Amino acid sequence: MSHFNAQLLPDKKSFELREPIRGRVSWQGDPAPENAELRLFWRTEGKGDRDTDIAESLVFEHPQSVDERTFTFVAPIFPPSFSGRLISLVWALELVIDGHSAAVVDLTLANRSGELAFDNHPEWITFEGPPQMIGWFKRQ
Amino acid sequence: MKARENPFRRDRLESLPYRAPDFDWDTLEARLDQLGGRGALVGPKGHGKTTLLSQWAARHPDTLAIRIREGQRRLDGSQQRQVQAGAAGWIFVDSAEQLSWLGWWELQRWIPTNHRLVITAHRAGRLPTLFRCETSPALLGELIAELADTKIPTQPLWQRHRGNIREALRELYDAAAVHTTKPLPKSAISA
Repeated sequence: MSHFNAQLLPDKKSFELREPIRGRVSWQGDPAPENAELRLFWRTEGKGDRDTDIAESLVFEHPQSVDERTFTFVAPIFPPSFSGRLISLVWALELVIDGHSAAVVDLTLANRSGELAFDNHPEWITFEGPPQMIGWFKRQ
Repeated sequence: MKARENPFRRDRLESLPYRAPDFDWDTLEARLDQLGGRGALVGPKGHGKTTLLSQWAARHPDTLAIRIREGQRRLDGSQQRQVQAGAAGWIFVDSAEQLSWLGWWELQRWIPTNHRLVITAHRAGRLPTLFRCETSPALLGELIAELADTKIPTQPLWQRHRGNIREALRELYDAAAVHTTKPLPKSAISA
């Protein structure tokens, strides 16, 4: 756990795929951190083991003890946020200061209809990612 | 209920601090020292051995945690190199009973003598028993109350899973998953 008092404020919490994710982060603590990094990542939640992957990260150069920075990512097109009974995929931003998590904000990254909910879809659903990443998910 | 809203989802279970009557970290570590720095956490499946082991490992910065897979008879090459590197003052080995006698002998030979070694096992034998992990309906009820903010009769659930708390909570995950509202209905856990 970080001893920095940090804030992570994206402009909003739901984004369409390929949409810019903008916001600002701020922190204060003493002494100044040696490194500060913002990560855009996804994780799974549910009955089984957690899986996670970092899609993008942004290193803030020369972090000060009291600092504020802005950030911009682009929402990846794959994988989108989804939820079923057994597993959910959750996107999030995490501010990491000196190797410790200082703030986390969950996001929804999906098309206009919002997070894919498996229970509300036909027996088989598909969504389009890059051509090599067509994903099929069987309804639970 | 969506998986990410399920009160019994995996990450919530793993965030529960280990607990047992008369348990505290100082006493446990003092007992380990009394045993010469090597000991075993013993108990059946789902009784909290791995939870205790992983949370113990997280208390120390210089640890090496090794998980022995089901059917794994000897350390693999990566695990062997990590042990032999001797960089960690604490070595935690989960499911050590999976190792064959040769694998167990190799592990002990590779660990520097000044390092602490804690293992989990279903039965006592390979190292002196440091702590015996046990469960009870009361403990299960306490965990459920913490996870789902609800009180339910836990005796039938605990008995049905022979004290395996992990399996009992997985059953509750399934029960919660098919319902759309909280709290968990009592009908979902009837005997």
